[in-house]
Amino acid sequence: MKGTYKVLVLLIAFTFLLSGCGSNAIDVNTNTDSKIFKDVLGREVEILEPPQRVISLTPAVTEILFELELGDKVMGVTEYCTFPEEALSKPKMGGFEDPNIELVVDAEPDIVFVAAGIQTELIERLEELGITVFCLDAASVDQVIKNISMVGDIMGVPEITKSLTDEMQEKVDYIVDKVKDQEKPVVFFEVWDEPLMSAGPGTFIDSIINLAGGSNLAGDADTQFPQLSMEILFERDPDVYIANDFHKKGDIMTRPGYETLKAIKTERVYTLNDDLVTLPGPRIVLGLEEVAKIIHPELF
Amino acid sequence: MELVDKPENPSVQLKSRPIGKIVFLAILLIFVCLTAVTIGPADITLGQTVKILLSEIPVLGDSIVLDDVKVSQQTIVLQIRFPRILLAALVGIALATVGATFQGLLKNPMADPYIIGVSSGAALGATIAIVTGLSAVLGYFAVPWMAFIGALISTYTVYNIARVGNSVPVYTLLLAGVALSAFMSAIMSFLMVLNSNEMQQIMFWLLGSFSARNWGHVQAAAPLILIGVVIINCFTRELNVMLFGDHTAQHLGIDAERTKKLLLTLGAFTAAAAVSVSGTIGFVGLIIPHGVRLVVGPDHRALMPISALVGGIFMVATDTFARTLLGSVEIPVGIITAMLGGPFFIYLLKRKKGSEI
Amino acid sequence: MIIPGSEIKVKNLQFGYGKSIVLKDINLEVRPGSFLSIIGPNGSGKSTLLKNISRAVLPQKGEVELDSQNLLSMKPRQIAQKMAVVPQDTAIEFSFSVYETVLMGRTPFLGRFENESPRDFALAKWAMEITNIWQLKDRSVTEISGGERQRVVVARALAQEPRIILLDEPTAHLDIQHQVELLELLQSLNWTSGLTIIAVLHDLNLSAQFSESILLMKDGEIFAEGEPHQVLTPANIRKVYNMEVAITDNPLTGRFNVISLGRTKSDLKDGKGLHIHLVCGGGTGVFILDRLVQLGYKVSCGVLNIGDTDWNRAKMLGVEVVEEAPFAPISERSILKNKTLIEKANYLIITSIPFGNGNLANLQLTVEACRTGKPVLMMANDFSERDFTEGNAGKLMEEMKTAGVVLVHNPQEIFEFLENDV
Repeated sequence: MKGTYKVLVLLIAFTFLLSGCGSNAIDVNTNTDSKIFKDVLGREVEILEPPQRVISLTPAVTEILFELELGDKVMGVTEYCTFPEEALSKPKMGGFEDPNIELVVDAEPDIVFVAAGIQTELIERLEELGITVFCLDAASVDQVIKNISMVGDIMGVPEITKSLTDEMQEKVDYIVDKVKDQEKPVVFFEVWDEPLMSAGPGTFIDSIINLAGGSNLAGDADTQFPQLSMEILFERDPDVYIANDFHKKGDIMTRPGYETLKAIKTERVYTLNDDLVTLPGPRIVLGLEEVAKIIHPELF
Repeated sequence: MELVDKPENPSVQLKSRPIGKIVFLAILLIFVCLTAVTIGPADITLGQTVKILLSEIPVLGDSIVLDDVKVSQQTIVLQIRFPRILLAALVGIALATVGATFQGLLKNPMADPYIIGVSSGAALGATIAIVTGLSAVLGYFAVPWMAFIGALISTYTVYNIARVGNSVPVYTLLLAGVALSAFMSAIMSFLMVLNSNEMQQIMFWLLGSFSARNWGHVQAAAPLILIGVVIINCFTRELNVMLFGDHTAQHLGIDAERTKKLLLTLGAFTAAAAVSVSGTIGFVGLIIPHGVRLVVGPDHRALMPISALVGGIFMVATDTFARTLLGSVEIPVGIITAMLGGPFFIYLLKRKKGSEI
Repeated sequence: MIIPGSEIKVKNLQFGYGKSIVLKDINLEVRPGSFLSIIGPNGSGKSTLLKNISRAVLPQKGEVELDSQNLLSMKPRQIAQKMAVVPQDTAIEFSFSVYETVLMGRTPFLGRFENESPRDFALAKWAMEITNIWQLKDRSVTEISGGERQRVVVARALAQEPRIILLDEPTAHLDIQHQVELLELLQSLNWTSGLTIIAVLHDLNLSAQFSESILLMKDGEIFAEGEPHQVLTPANIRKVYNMEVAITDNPLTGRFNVISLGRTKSDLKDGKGLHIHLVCGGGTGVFILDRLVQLGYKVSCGVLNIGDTDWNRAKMLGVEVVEEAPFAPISERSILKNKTLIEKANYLIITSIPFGNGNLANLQLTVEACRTGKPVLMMANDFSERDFTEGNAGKLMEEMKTAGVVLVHNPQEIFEFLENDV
């Protein structure tokens, strides 16, 4: 009796859990001349006409929207969207990991931009509530430029978009060209100090270091943000040490044990705003430029 | 054999179920839920909310005019707030009921619904789902599903470790639960270190939250929780007697081992269902039954339903706090339950100690 | 109509924990309406036997039948409707009221969704009244004394309206008045409604006083079974408890009392206990008999007339005595018996008895014993005043002196002599 009871309960659970997937279906108009856009997750999203009410749940897209002078169409941003200044006055839709769905729905957006990773779960939920969602994320400068083009296309502002992307591409090409045949100094980018964490392959930072003519100390790591032991740092003795401008250069140089590092001895310790090298938005080029300057001061 | 010739009417009779209190609390729960539906960051008036709710009632609803209500507002009330509040109520009911059940079964007022491995198993299941990116493949139900399975596997393992022959002594159950929890926590931490990207997501899940829950979650959890809670409430007399020990229960005609196994199973399923949709919300399952016991006494026929209703009310209230306290950012509800639960419990304990001296 | 109490049959029961065997091949029949006490030293298996009968544990071999139904084939509920159990341990940690606790005795009769009926309340009230705890009904069980808690548990068992009740040391935490109160209550229930009672008791006197049959256990087996006076004999108690006791009649209750005297001395020289034979009478041997038994010696005496004070004492102490009809002179047969005993004994003691022609034979035997080299001690004080045989006793005395009799003047010298004569 108890055995069958268990099975029965399991079956009930099974049935209901399965049926719970995807309950509210939304009718989608199929207009013959509507446009279908593909986002970074491969989703094909139908967007009938340039959206007038836009919500950005990712700081990178927020920056892109403002850069494309679409600020007045932005109905909501996250608490983390701090650039540019105009973004600070936009209504907040919650944090990055857990945006407030109620506020999003209340704002009645035509489109919501999200990032990949932690926000992918959001997509299904927002779609269930009848909202158009578009996912944009990037791990390379190239992809960023493509994303900016995509936003421009969707929002129906081709000219300003082209001028921006062209400008960005130019700058990138310039730098890449200049460092082409140069020696590549070993660069260590400190993402965090306790525990010591750097950026590995597949990250922006890694791609930028490479583009800027450097060799990423953590370039052969297994994960995107590896925790390194101090031993590796000392063993590989980088030429250049870059950290988040959260830390002061002076503090870094006086860290116990660091005095033996080449970079410290030659005072090639630098800090910069890590938004410039992590946000897949228009400022990435600024980041690239700064890193290039740091790595090859003689060239820039 | 007649030891008594004829029954006389005793001058004092005992009430077993305080129906009055239960009805009152049930009404209070409904009231709290309805109030919570009207609260939220979006700008919707009370009148609009009432209209939206009434329009959903079959037949009567057709006569309600919704001109001044935007579609988005209807969506918010019916698709975002309502299911979330309902889920909070269900989870609160589930956790409080299972907490009371385990406290009675294990004869330990410090027991909670997670003690036999439910939370550590669910946490590990959720962690695995998150780090393997299962949601990308299976949708947002991947995590709850894995959490549910994890909770059940963990409980089953604890049960088998603790089993001595055909019986489950209380002390081995407690020890096995603690041991397995520690082990699973370790594995989880290890996975988190290897996948530091997802660490935040995992921690979030662990703290427990009702944000972004919808009708799908309610549909998934409601049947198990309701069945579990109702059946457990049918065993309140047995639980009462089992408080006096397995032998005494046996001598009063109760098959202690069978009842214990049944209640442990039901409790595990119910708690697993709750945890899978809301994460590991702490304190509710421990403090609510304990607090209620200090007020209404150890008789489970009163303790059980009252704990359930108080649990539901508490959960809805704290969730409402969690989602409105800081404007647009939500606090994970587990934090609020801990902050409210702890001090309130200390207060209850002091009051009880004072009256006993 | 009075429905008779339940009957228990234990057949070939064997039980143990793990590999050690606690109960060996127990066979027992408890008739409906009987009041049986189970006694025995710690470790004899009496609690374990009760647990097997109450189905708290399951036998390894054999079976237990309740009203001819094997316990294993019955559901706990069925058993609980006939059998109530009062356990030894009564600690309770949850604050139910006394009334609620006693009411739980009705559990075996209530359906899952059934509430208690007026009859259930009435039974609980009755049970509390006869155990004298009704005034505690609203108190929490965690706040009452151990003795009161014991009575609560008994009341709960009675509320079950059982046909048989099993109690494991129910008087353990009770003070004397409540012990008696409880047993009197059980007794009266037993008499008026035929309730079968099986109680494990540690107090021999209470078991003697209140039960109609006793089971004496030793080392996992039934040592003796029967009515109290049959089971509680000094010999049985010596063998089971290694205790020396005196059994007296209790003129008030018609029952008897067991008075403990001290522990049995373990085996002495050559692996055999020392045997001392006492020639006494007229109350002169009372103290010495007592003390010798207490010191653990094997004692016998004779020849004594039935009704003689020393004879009474000997009977009380369970000491072997060669007896003669009241006031009659010592017969040939008795002389022979006495002689046999004297020959077996290691020591012979003669107390300060007066000698007349009726018991001169005793003295003659003593002289012979002296001559055989047996150690003989004689109380020599005021001998001449005790001689009522016109000097014949005195002559025998002189012969004994030449034969090496040890003369003592008070009982203490006797004990010292025995002590030092290793």
